[in-house]
Amino acid sequence: MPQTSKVPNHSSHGLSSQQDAVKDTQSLFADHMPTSMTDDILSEMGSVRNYREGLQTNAPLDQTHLAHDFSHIYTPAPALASSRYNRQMLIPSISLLGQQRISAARILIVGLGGLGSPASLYLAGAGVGKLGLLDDDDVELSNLHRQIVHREDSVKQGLPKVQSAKRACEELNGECKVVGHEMRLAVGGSDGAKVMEVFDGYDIVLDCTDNPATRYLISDLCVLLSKTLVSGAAQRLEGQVLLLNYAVPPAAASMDHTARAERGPCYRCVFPTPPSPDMVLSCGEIGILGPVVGTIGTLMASETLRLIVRGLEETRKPTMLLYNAWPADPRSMFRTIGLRGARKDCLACGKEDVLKEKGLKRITKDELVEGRVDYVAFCGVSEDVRILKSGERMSAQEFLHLTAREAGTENHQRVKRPVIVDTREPHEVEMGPKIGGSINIPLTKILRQGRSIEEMEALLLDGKHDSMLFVCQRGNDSQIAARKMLEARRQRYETKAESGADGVGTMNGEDSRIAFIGDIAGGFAAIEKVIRTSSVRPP
Amino acid sequence: MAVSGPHKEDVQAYRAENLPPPPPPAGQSQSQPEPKETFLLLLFASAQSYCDNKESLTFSAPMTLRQLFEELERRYSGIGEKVLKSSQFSVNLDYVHCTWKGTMQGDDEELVLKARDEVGIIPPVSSG
Repeated sequence: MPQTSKVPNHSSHGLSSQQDAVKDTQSLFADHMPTSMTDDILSEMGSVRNYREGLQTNAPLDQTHLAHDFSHIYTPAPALASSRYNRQMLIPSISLLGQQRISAARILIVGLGGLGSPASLYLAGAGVGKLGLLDDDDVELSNLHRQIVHREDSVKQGLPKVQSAKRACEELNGECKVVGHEMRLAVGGSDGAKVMEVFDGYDIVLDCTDNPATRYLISDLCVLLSKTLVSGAAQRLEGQVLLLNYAVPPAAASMDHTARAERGPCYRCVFPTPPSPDMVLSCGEIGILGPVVGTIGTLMASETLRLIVRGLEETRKPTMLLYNAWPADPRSMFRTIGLRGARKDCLACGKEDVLKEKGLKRITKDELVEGRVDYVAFCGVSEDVRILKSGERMSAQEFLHLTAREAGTENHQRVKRPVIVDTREPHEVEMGPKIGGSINIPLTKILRQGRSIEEMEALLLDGKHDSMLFVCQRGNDSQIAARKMLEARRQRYETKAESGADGVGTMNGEDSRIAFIGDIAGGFAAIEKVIRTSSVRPP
Repeated sequence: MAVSGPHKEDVQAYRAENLPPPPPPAGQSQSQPEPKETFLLLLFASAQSYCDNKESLTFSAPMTLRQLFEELERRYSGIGEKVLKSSQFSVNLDYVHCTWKGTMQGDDEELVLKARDEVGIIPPVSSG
């Protein structure tokens, strides 16, 4: 095959190559068709023939010149077009400009877990110019079912997630510049300025984190630094995707009177009130399916690429995508909710005068950098429930010793055993430790179904029992359940006392047949601790 | 005694709400009773876990948004503080302006929900 050198040259070698090329083109016809046929075709293609004749009749000097340098009539395909990105460049809305934008984009992924895994891999694969990875965690075995950027080897080596993900992204695409930021996302002290500096080095931030406080912090940082934020979250079989704080081109902003803001809503605009800390559970507690969080992370990567290709501007109305992997109705797997634009009274991105009217002030860069915005306090912490008196609680140690002693007693008839009510949800009981002879009535049932209380009362008063002990994982739900039962008993006693029924109660208002209603303080967590550290065997 | 399966009352309530009424006894009027006019409440994330892991609930139309949330609080005590306070709400896939402050407040609290409407409770999800 003739070689075409990249730099046009006038050497004899170059000339012969080009002549070979011309001969080759002619031979495409000549070798495979009878000469007469070739001539027929050529006669029909009048313009081609004329052109060829023209070449032949022109001075040989011109021909030589053409053979040497076609650069004035011929530009080679851009190198990018035949690069590894060819298949995505074939999409008309991406093309060359789109890929050039992708190759120049600087993207920061905060959190290299279930969301950050597919997001980092797809963005590295797509060839973003600079890919920042921020996390402070190490890879653990329980991560691998969903955090597909990491490998078993990273667990064995005890690698930080940033290093593990960086290695995978670089292996996938050596052309992508991957920058690791092994740090905790925190403000205050020297951290604030550092975090600002990191964020400022990127165009788009992907929030792939796992707690509300960090989500509000990331959003506020993006507002202050005018960075587009792609936010995703997933739990169990559901997920959400939001595109936030994006630039709205002036034309679109003026055409749409409801969204005059220069940027789209921020996380605070969409969720001004943080979730109740009792309802916030991490993946470690609530559970998550790999493909679900993977779908959300993948959608985040797709949204990021769309925004890059569009030149970091968004003209569409803000929306929130909801994903339910296993819906009852298959048509409701994906839903898109239309949102309103930025809130004028938003503490992060609102209008100064609107906030002032309400006696509020916008969060400033200094406040944030110096750590004066307390995100943890804003989101609250789940406090241990304290609704039982100490006399209504039994320690795990006491419980185990009492039960062990009872088991050793020969005359079982004489000892009335406690009814042990496990208030965990059935699936938690299935996967967790159990106490022999306990019954499972989830707290949700106890709270909502009067019938559960009646059933428990019947058990308590069946003559074989004299006490009732509630137990759960940590000793919070068990207190709520015990309180509910205690109240039900008190009401029952009062009703009986009023109607003058015979003496089920004693002078101090307690039922003489019942020795104790309460819970096991600290629940199974405390029981396991005692068993681990003492010679007491579980009953 | 494991109280994990659906209670008899639950099943009966479900049937009453979701199954067509039994056919009228022979010889009586053939006219069909009007189908019950209801709207659907979609529960996402923590709203779902708070309501016994139900994906959706049906309510009789018409009803205002405020009345709906009062009814929810009656059925699922504490849902206002624990879930609604931080949630966003949608009617037929569009955000509506409502905030839970003990009761439902906002521009759209008196919005009337009609038969076949689809209301969504969307709490923030933060894990990943």
